[in-house]
Amino acid sequence: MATRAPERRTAMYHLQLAMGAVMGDADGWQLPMHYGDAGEEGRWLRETVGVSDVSPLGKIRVVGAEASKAVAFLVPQAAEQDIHSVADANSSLERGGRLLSARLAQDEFLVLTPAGVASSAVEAMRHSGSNGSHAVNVTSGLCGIAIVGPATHELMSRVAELDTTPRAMPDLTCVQSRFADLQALLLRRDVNGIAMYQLYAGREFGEYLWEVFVGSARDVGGGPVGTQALLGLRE
Amino acid sequence: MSFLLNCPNCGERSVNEFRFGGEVVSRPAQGSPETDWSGYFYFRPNVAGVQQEWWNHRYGCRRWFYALRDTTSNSVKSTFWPGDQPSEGTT
Amino acid sequence: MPGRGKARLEPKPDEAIDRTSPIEFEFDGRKLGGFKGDSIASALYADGVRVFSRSFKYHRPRGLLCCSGNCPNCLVTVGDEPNVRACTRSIEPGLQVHSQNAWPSLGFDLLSLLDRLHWMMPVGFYYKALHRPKALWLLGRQLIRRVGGLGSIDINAGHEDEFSSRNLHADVAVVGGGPAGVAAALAAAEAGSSVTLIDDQPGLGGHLRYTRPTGDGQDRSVGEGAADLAGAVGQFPQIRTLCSSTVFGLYQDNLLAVLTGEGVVRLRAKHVVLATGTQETPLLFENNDLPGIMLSTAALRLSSLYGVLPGRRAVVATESPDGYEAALQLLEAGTEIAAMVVSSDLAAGEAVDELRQRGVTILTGHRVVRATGRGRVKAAVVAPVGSTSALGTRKFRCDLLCVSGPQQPVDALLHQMGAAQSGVTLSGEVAGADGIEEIERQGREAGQLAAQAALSGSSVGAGMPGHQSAALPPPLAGKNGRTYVCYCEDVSLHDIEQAIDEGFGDIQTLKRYTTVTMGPCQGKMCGRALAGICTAHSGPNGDEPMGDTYTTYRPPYQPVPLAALAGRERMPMKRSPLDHVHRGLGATMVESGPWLRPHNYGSPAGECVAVRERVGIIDVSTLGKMEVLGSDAPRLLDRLYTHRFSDLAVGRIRYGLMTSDNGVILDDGTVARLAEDRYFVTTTSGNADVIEEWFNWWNAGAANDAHVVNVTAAYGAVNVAGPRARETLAKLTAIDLSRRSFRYMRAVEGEVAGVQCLLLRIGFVGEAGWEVHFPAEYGEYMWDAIMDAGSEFGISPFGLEAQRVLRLEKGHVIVGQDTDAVSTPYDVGSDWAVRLDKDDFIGRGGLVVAADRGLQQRLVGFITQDASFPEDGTPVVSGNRPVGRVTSSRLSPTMKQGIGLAWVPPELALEGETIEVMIGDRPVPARVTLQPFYDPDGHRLRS
Repeated sequence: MATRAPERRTAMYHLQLAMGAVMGDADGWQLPMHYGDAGEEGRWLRETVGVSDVSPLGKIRVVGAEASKAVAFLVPQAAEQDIHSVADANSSLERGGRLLSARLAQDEFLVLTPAGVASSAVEAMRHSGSNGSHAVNVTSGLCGIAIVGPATHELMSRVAELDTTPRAMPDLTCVQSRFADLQALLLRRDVNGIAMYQLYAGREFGEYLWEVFVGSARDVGGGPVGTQALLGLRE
Repeated sequence: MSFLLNCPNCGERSVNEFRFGGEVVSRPAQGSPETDWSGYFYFRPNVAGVQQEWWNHRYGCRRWFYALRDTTSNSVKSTFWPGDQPSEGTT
Repeated sequence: MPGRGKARLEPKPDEAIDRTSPIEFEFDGRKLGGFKGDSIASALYADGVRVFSRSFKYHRPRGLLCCSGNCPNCLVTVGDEPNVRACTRSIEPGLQVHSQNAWPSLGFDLLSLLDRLHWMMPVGFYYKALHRPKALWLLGRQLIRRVGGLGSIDINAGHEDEFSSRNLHADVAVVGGGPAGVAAALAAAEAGSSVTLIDDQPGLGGHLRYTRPTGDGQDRSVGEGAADLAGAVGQFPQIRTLCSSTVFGLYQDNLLAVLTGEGVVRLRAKHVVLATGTQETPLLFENNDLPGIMLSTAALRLSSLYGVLPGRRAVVATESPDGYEAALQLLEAGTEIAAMVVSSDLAAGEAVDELRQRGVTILTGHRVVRATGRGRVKAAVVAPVGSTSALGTRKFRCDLLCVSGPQQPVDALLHQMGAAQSGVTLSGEVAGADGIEEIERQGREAGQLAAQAALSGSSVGAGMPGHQSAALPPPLAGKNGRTYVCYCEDVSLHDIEQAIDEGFGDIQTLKRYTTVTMGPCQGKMCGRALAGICTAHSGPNGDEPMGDTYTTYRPPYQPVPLAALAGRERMPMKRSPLDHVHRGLGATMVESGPWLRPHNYGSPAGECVAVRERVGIIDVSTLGKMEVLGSDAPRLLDRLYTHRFSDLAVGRIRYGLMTSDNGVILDDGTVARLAEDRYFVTTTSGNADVIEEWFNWWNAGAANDAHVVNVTAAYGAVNVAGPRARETLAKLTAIDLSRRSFRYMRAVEGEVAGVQCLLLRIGFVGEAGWEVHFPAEYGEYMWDAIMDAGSEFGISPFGLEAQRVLRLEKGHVIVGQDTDAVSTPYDVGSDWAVRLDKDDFIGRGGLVVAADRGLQQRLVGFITQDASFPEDGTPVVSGNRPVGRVTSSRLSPTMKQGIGLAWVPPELALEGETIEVMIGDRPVPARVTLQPFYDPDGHRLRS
C-alpha cells in the first residue's frame, strides 16, 4: 500500500507553484494560500481584480426530466428555479456550508458544494426518490476560477464576447458561453455586496485557462490571489 | 460572419458560439430502397432562400436545435427545438 | 533644440498641444522637438519639414495633404512599425521616426528617376510589357518588388503582445464625435440607453475642433464649440467615449470592429448611428501633388490644433465653405492670401464678405490649372473655368496652396453592410444635413430613434442614400499625366482616360486595371473624383455615360495592423493530469489532436520489451469518457453502435464500433455496463467532444430517459499491462485480480492505493492489463503509487510509439490512422461487431448497401521477409501499378520482422497471399495475414 496520503492537485497546481504559490491543504487538495504577498492580493480584490483557483468545490451535474425534484432535495428553491438563475441554501450535509444550484436548462443543473461533500450530495440526491434524474459527480472534471474585483468587466471583456456586465448579468444568474475560446459556465453570486463570478470549464484546459485569466488580470492591474485574500472578503 | 442566433435555451448569441449541422433531412425508414438511402446520404437541395437547419450551441448549453435561415442573407427567421413548431417573432 | 519649432504661432485656448511639456524625438537620425499633444506630422511641419514621403510608383516627393489620417502622404516608419500615419500618431519622448520608400534620403531619392521615366510605365504596364523573353519578367518582377510597395516589414519585430482585443456592448453605438454624433449620443443617453461614442481623432468635436462655432451669433474662439461638446458628453457616465479609434468594419447584426491604440474592440450594438460627416477631397490639376498643396481643413488643423503656421503666402482654391474658413484663419495667423479661387460664378456669405473687407482677391469662375515648383509648390496658375487656351491665365506665387474640392460623404461603413443593413441610422452631414442647427437637430433625432429602437428591441432600417452627383469640371487640357487622381498608387487622370479608351468601361474593372482607390486610402481622396470622371466620360464605345457610381466598399475602412487583428495568441491545448509527470521524465511530447502526449521516454523499443516481458504503464487519460445514463440508455447505445449493448451484463465490457449513417467508421472504444441504467463509454482520444455531440444529435428531441455526461476530464487513466501487471496492482488494492475472478472484458469499481477507481480489464497492447480510471486530481499521486509498486517488477512507462507497435503486433486498428472516409466495418474485418439482426441503427442503411455490394477493398496485415518495413502511406504495388496503400508499418520487436496493415483489393486479401510493398523505391514482397501477428489465440491477453 502507498506510504503517503493521497494528495489532490488542481489542474493549475504546477503553474501556481511557478508563480510562487505557498500551498495549503484543503480537504486533501493543494491550494495556494497566497503568492507571497496576501496584502497586495487583498488590494487587487478591492481595487482591480483578483483571480483565484476554486477547483476543489464539489460539482454535480444533475440531468433528467425530474432533475429539479432531485436538486430540490438539497436546495429547496430548485423546484421552481428559473433557467439561468442560481439558488443557494444552507447545506444539510455533514459539514454544513452553502450549496449553490445553477439551473442550466429545463432538465439540467450544476450543483456546487463545499469541498469534500460532493459524493454525499450525490448519494442524497440518488435517494431523493426521483426516478427521472441522474446525478453525476463531475468535481474532478471541471476546474474553477473565481473572479472578484471592480475591474472584473475589464478582464471579462478580454476573454468573452458575451456581455457579462451587471446589467446583462445580475446577482444569482448563470450563463454558458464561450470564454477564452472554450465552453464554460459563468455564475455570479455576490459576497457581502461584492460581485463575485465563478467560471467552470473542462479540467483538461486548466493550465491554458489559468494563463489566460492571470494574464488578463495582470493586463488590468490585478493578478492571482490565494485563499487567504479571498476568505478575507467574507469578514 | 457575425450574425446572431437565438438559442432556444440560452437566448441570443453570436454565431461564433455555434456549430452548423447542415440541412434537416428526413431519414428513410428501415428497408427503404438504395436510391432513397443514397439521396439521404449524398444529396441536399441547397436552396437559395430559407431552409431548415441543424445548429448546436457548442459553446453554450451544447444542445441541438432547428433554425430557419435565409441562406442569401444569413438572417435567421426562427429557432426551435426538434419536435416543436417554428414560432413567429423570434429573429 | 527641442521646443517650439520655427513656425509656431502664439498660444490659443483649446489648442491640442501643451506648451509646458516639450518632447524630444528623432526623425531620420536628427533630434527634433515638439510639445505634448503634437502629432509627428505637426512637429515636423513646425520644424520646417515639407517633404514627408515618396510616392508609391514614381517616387515623387509628397507633403501633408489631409492631416487627418485619411491620405497616404505622410506614411513613416516608427521604430520597426512601417506605414504609420505621421499626422495621427502622437509624439513621445525618444520616438524613432524614419522616412520610408526613399533611397538614399527623403530629400534626394535616386528612385525619383522613375518619375522621369513615367512614360515607360503607363497604366497596367506590367500586363503589357516584360513578356518576352520569359526571364525578363523574372528580372522585372524582382525590380518592381524592390522599388514598389510601401515601407518594409521587420520580420523579427515582435508585436504579438502589443495589442489585446476586447469585446464591448452598447445599446447605441455612435460613430463620429462631431456635432451630429455628440447630439445623437446625448439624446440616446438621456433616453436611458448605454452609448459608445467613437471618433478617430484625439478629441470630440469634429470640425469644431479647428473652426469657430457659428450660428449662435456670439463671437467665440476656435475650438470652443468642441470643448463644449466634450464637456456635455462628460456629464453622462453611461456614454463610453473611444477617441483616436477607428471603426474599420460594420458587420451583420451591428458588430463594429474598432481599432483603438490598445487593440481591436468588437463592439456589439443594438442600434448604430453613423455621424461620420463628409470628407473634403483634393482638386484635379497638373502637379496637384506637390508638397505645399493641402486640403484647406489640413491647413486649419495645423494652425488651430497645433499652432503651426501652414505657409507664408497662400492661394486658396475652393468649392466648399471650408475654403473660406481656412482663408480667414490663415489671415488671422499671419498668412498672406494671394488669391481665393472659386470655380462657381458666385461667392457669397459672411466669410466671403469678411474676406472681401480684408482686401482678399476673390476670383470667381476660375480654377487652378497647374501648380509649379520642384519638390515644393512655388506658384499656382489660374484660368477661367472652361478656357482651353492660355488666354486669361494668371500666375500667383505662393508657398501654400489650399484646395477644397467636392465633399465626399463618409458612408463607407453603411455600404460595407450591403443589403444586410438594419438598425443603422445616418445623421448629420453624411446624411446631407447642412448648417450647424440642422446637423444638431438631425443628431438629436437619430439619438432618440436609436434609443427607442434599442430599448424596444425593434430594428429600424436606414435608407441607403445615393451619392450626390459629382459636379466635376470636364477633363482639363494640359499634362494630365501629372494630374493625380489617386495619390496612393500614382494613378493620373491620363492613366484613367487611357484605361477607359482601352475598354475598361465599368468603374469596377477600371479600378482593378488601374489600381485607383486600391491603395492605403481606399478611395477616401479619390473616390469622388473617380466617380466624377466616370460621369463625365462616355463608355469606350462612346455610347452611354459610365454612370455615377462608386467602387465597392469592403472592410477594413482604414489599414489595421495584423498584430492588432490577431490580438493575444491563444491556443487552447488539453493537458492530461499526468502532463507534468511526463515532462519530468523527459518524455518527447507529440501533438495528438487537441492533446499533447508522450511519444516516447527515450527508447520505444525498450518500452515495447518492458510491456511484453515485465510490466508497462501508459497514460490513457486522453481517452474520451462518457457516462450514458437512464432507463433508455441501452436503447440509445443500440441505436448508435453497430453492436448490441442492451444485452450486456452489468460488470461486463464490449467493444463498440460506431459508424456514420452511410456505414463509414466514425469511432471505436469500449462500453462497460456499470449498472442497469449506467454505462461507461470510452472513445478515441481526439474524438471525445465530437462523439458527445453525435450522441446528443441523434438523441435530440427524443424526450426519453437517456442522458450523456462527458466525464473525459474527470478521470485520469493509465493502462498497466504486461506479465507482471497483476502483481504490481495487487500491491495496491484489495480487489481480487486473479484470472478467474477478474476476467478479460470485465469492469470493477474499487479502491486502488486508497483512491476510488474504475478498473477495466481490456487489452489494446495484447497483454494482461488493466485500465485504471481515477479522479483526475489524484493523477500524480496514482502514477507515483503504481510506479513504486511496480519498481520491483521492472515497471517502465511507455509512450504512443511503443503502443502503436504493440497494438500493430495484435493487428488492432486505429480509427483515423488505418481507416479513412470510406472504410466500413466489413472492410477492416470487423463483421463480428455489426449486428444487422437488431432494430434500425445509425449506419444500418449504409451497411446493408455495403454488404450487398461486396468488398471493394480490405485492410489486411502483412509481414516482410526481414527487418525492413515500408513507410506509412506508401503504395502497395502489383506489376508496377499501385493497387493499395500501407496505413501503418513498424519493425516488430517480438518477431524481428517488418509488420504492417495495408489496404489491398479483395482478391489479394487472402491468408498467405504475397503482395509487394515499397521500401525506398524498391518493391519488396510481403506475406498477407488476417491473423494477429502476436499471440493470435489471445492466451497472454486472457492470462
